[in-house]
Formats: sequence, structure tokens, C-alpha cells
Amino acid sequence: MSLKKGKIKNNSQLCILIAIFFGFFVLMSVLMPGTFLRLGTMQSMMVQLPEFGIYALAMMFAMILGGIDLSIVSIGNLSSIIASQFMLRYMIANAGETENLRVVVQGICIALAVGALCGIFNGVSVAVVGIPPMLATLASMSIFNGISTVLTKGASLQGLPEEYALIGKSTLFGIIPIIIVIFLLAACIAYVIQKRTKLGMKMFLVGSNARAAQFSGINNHFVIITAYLLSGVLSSLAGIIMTSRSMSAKMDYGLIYQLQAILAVVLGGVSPKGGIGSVGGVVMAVLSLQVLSTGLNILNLASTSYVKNLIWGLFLVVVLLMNYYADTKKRKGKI
Amino acid sequence: MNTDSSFIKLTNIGKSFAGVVALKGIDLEIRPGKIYCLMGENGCGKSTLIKIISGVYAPDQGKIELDGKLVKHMTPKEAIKNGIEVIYQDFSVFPNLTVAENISVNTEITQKRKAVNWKRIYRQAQLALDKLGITLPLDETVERLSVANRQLIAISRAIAHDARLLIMDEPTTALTKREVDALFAVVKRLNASGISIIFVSHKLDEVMQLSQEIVIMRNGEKVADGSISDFTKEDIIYHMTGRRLDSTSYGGPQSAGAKTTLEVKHITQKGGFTDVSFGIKECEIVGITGLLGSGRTALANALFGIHKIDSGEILLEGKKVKLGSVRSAVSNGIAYVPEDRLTEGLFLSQPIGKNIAVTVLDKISNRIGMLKASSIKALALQWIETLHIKTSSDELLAHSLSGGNQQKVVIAKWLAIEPKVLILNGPTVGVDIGAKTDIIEMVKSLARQGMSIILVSDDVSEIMMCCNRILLMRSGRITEEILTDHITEPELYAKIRAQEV
Repeated sequence: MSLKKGKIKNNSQLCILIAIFFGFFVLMSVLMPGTFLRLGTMQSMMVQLPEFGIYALAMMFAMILGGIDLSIVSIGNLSSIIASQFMLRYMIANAGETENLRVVVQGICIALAVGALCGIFNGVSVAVVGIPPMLATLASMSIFNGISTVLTKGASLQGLPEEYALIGKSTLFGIIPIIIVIFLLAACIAYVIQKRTKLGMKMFLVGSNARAAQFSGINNHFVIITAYLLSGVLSSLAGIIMTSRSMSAKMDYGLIYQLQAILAVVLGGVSPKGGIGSVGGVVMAVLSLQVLSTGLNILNLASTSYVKNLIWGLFLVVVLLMNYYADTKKRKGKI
Repeated sequence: MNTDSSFIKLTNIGKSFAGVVALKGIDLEIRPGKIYCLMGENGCGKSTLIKIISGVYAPDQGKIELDGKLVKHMTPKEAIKNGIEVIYQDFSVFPNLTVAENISVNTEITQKRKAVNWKRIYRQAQLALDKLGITLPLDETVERLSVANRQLIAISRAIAHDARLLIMDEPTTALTKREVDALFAVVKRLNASGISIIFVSHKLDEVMQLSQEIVIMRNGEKVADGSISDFTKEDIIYHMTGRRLDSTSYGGPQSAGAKTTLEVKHITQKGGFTDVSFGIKECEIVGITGLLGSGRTALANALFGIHKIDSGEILLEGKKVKLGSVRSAVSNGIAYVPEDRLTEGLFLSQPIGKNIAVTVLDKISNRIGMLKASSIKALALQWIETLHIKTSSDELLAHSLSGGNQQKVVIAKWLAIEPKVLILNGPTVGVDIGAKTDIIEMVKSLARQGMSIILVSDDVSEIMMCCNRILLMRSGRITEEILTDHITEPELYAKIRAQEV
């Protein structure tokens, strides 16, 4: 009987999230059949979702370790600012259609590399120096923001090569935005790393009990640094998508995503204590939040983002309560 | 008060949880001024029974009589009003409050006082301490006291309002021998003043030493009870486990030609141990014992590369090795079952399978580090079967296992690397007797197959049963090396205690 309990627990959380997602979807469709269930609405959701979703995945890698990464958006902005400055410097003005493609590809690589370096910086301060993750990434957030400000003097960088916009604009078969595909790919890779590799398993074990991990011969430093590195790379990917969509880079883009990412990850069933969570849950949480937010926008209930935040916050509380009651009920049944 | 009439009488008590029977047909009588010991393996229903006596659970059937009067609804409040007090394993003291506040807090609350009268708080606290015959500084914050003293505070609090029955759930788990003696003196003093005691413990020696009456439970039933003088140790173990314990010593196949696996020469770690030298051969079990703080754990940790040694050398099969990290120790074939299985040994929130596979991830993953769930499962199932780990699935969380089975999981993960040297630090602490027997048998049979085993323990009978040789440690040095054949259990016990100053 108790055989299935552990399994059901994980699956039931995912089921709740899937049910919530479809619940919202159906609710919005019923409330506004004409406006919600349209190709345009679906497409706009698919365009809005990826940068937030990828930030959530970045946050997840830190939280699986029982840590947190408060610098993800700062990493995204810093890496795209450096990449943009590189592209602005080396691009050929008034060039033909694909002449700047090489510069753009190089820029993207630079952005990802900067993200990786920022992540390593976080990982080293957490693992080797031993600063608590919240303080370490709070400090690095300020540092990364500071570098961004110095590099741009606070101004937004514009006039990026036209080819760069392709990332944000391109579609698959003319319907599906390429960035949602990038998000799904990133989610798949994150899933494979977490559930199908020994590195991922070590991340869960370190998150569950770092001391026992050390006593089992796991190289905790390596595992923690790698996790923050992946978090940094994902953050810079989100930054690339963000700058590509707006065709500009600025030090304070998307700051709201920082806390929303934590919300989505916790909502997705990742334990803030570490060691528990699944990519599936986080993806479902991101999708649910997106449907909720788009629906509210159309309903005009959420003319300002504050109302949206209020409702998202309530939503988080409700889901946490549901999980809590599901949990205590189970425990009572047990003994 | 008449000692013949019972204080509490339970008749035919039964309790089930969600269809699982936890207690069936329990008859129990607690008479005033007696010390009872409640024994049984984990999951035998001890805690459920205690919770029924203290009013936390209501029984499904049977009746409870207090002073000969039938009690219909026993609640925790009712129990406390009648002088039934329980001291749980964690004592539930407030570490940030002072001794006096801790002792008086319950009385203050039950009397519904709104204003704080410090004089009264101090007077009550002093009174309670006097009853126990102990002195503690009343204005010290509790977090600065030792575990033993915190426990005394919990006891003081319990007796601050007239307790008639004190239930102590495994009170000696975290205490040194000296502190245990002090605790027993307090318990006997309380008992002499007419308070009944129910003492829950795994430790046979303590039970034989302290209690007057014994109640043994197995699988939710009372299997034996009576005066302690009618029972031998073997009887108690038999009643608890349903089988006889093989208490013969290991002896071990020691031939002169056996190779030395591990040898340490004059190793020193500042603050840990000084100038330690010894060697261990194939098929040999060496016991390291000594008091808490004698350096035994520091030594074990150093041999596993958790902390580096400052000087001296470590030889493995004759070759000098440097154990700078756990990984270097593991790659040299040294495995370590740590002292604290909950914080150092297990990943409680993870499945049993992953807990076992953690040490061999490199072996069961492919070249690019991909893992198959099936290979983890196969490994886990193999060890669950080999070590008789009681669980219905390898996917259950480690959290769900009993202490003994958790310890087997920790042992399994190390046997999986096929070590040459296995260091066990307190392998049977907090483990029920059945699992303890299993673990001891397993240690012996591993040694017979050639493994070198270092057993760090303060359980004298366990050391006598397993080891060829015993190293006695004191203040970081090995003070004596004893062959098990040349010493008896009481002698070894006395030697360890003699170190206490």
C-alpha cells in the first residue's frame, strides 16, 4: 500500500498543476470564446512565455540544491549588454541581408559565455567561499548590475543588427514562434540533465543533504558550481531572447522576472529546502501563470501589472495550501 | 497510598490506524511507586501505547481506569491533571529561555496567569530542582546547558506540578555513561517519593540496572511482563525479537599469513588525536572504544579522508597513501558508516534506491554520464534482498524506514563499492534489537570473507561479540590494546568507565 505513496506524491503534484492549467484554459475559453481561443492570442502567449520560462528553469537549478539565485535577470541583462556592445562594434552598417549573421552568432556565443562565467562566479562564492546562496547571489546581482550600468551608463543599447531580430521573430511553419521551441528544448535538456545523468542525480542528493553527499564521496563543490553555471547559461539565453524581441539591451529589463521565477519554481513543486522537484512541474506552472496572465489582460482585469502580481501571489498561496492539505491528509491516513 | 491498588489500569486496549492494527488486547497495570520498563522493537506499538496512556490517542476498544475509576475520554489535559507526564526524546525545552522559566512555564500557563511574578517562577523552579536533588543555575539560558541538563530541566518541569507517573521515551540516547548514572539517581529518588516511572529503552543493560517491572511488546501485543528478576538478557531479546541471539564472539579465522590491509604510523591530528599507530589484517575486526571526546570519531573521520592528518603516515596494503578527501579514501577501498546516520549517512527525502546507488554512480553510468533508472533499481533490489531491508519498494523515501533499516541502507551503499576496509562508527545506535542482530551477524560474515573491519563503538557487548582486538582510546591517544579473549565484558566496561574523571 505504502509502495505507491512516494510515487503518487510527485505525480499528484504534477496532476494538480496540469489540472490547474487546463482549468484556467477552459475557464478563459468559456469566458471569452471570441478573444481567447484565437490563433493570435495563442501566438502572443507563446512569444511572451519563453524568457520568463527560461528564467524559471535557471532558478530551478539553484533551488534544487536548496539554494536560490537572485542574480538571474542581472546575468541575463549583463550578458546581452556585453553581446550587444560587441555586435554594435563589429557589425557592418547598411549591410546586406545576411552579412551580419556571423557577428550575431558570435554575439550569442559571447552572451552564453558571459552567463557561464557569472554562474561560475556564483557557484564559487556559494560552494568554495561558503557564503549562503541568498547573500552570495544578492551580492553578485549588485555586482552584475553595477557592471551593466558602468558599461552602458544606464542607457539602452539600440541599433542591433537586423539578423539578431530573427531569433525573436522567426516562426516554425509560420505559426509557432521559434522562441517557444527554444524554451521547450531548454526544458527537455534540463529534464535530461536532472533525471537522466549522474550529475543531475548528484544535484538532487546534494540538495537533499550536502553533508551526507560529502560523506558519500560526492564532490559537492563541482556539483554546486556546475548547477550555478547552468543557471547562468540559461539566464543569458533568456536575456538573448529578451533583447532580440525588443532589439535593445538595457540594465534593468525584466527585473520583475526575478521574483516571478521563484514563484513559478515553488509553484511547480520544487522544495525550497532542496532535493525535490521536476522540470515538468515547473513548465506546467509557467504555462498556468501565462494563461492566467493573458486571460486577465484580455479581461482587462489587469490593466496594471500590480493586479496581476496580486492574483499570481494569491494563486501561489492557494496552490501551496492545496499541497499542504494533500500532504497532511496523507500523513493522517498513515498514522 | 496503598501500593496494591493500581494507579492506571488498561484492559483489552486495541487501536488501529487506517486498518493497520497497532495495538491489540493490551492489559497493563501501573502501580504507584514502581519503575516499569517498556521494551520492544521499532513499530511494536510502544509509542502508541504511551500516547494512549497520555491521552493523545483514544483507543478503539478497551477501557482505561484511573485510581479504579473508569475514564471515558482521556485527553492530554485530563492526563496531566491526573499527574501523568511524558518526557519525549527531544525534551521540548525552550533553548532561549532561562532554566527557571523553562521549569515554571507549564504551571504558569495551566494556572492561566496573566502577569509574570518572577519571585514565584524562581521559587517554583527551585522547589522542583530540590525534589530531584540537583543544582542548576536558575538564570542560565538553557541553550548553554548540556543535553543531560536539558533533560533534567524537562523532568523538573514535569514534576513541578504533582506528577504521579513519569513516562520517559528513550531518555538515555544522547547521554554519556556518567550522565546516565546521574539520571538514574534522579529517577530512583523520584521513585522513592512515590512517583511511578515508565521507562522506554532499547538498551538492555540500562533496563536491567534500573527497572523493577518489565513489559515487553512485539507486533502490537504484550508478549511478556513481570518482575525484572525473572528475566535474563537472553529472555528479553527472545521476547522482543522472537528469536535467540547468537552471542558467541567472533574469534575469526586468523592465520599467521594474513596480509595487513591498513596500517597507520604515528598519525596526529591537532585537536583530534595524537600519535596513533595500529594495523589491521584481512578477516580481522578491530574495535575502537573510549568515551565521547576520546578522539575515536576524529580518528575514524581521518581514516576516511574527511579531515586531513597533520603528521604520520597511512599505509594501505603496504603502500603509502594520502587520504585528503572522501573520494581518495573511497578510491583506495575504504568505506565509512558514519556516526550520525541522519545527517551524515542518508538522504532522507530521496528514494532508497538513490541512497544506495550514490557511491557507485560512476560505475553504473555510461561514458557521457547518462544513468539508467533500471540499473539503479537493479542495484537497489539486489541490496534490499541481500541485507533484508524491510521495505515494499526501492522507490520509497529513506525517510519511511525504521532506524535499523536506514542503517542497513547506509551499509548497503558502502558494500556496493566492495571495500577492503570498512569502518563502522556506532552502527547499532538507535537500532532495534532485531536489526542489531542482523548487523552484527553481517559484520562477522563480511570479516570471514576477508574484509578488514574497524568497529568504533561504546557498546561493550557489541564490541565483545565482534572484535578480535580492542583499542582503548583516551584523550586522543590509544592507551591500551586488548585481545578480546583476554578480557570479560564487565572488565572492559570497568576499564572504559575508569577513564572518566
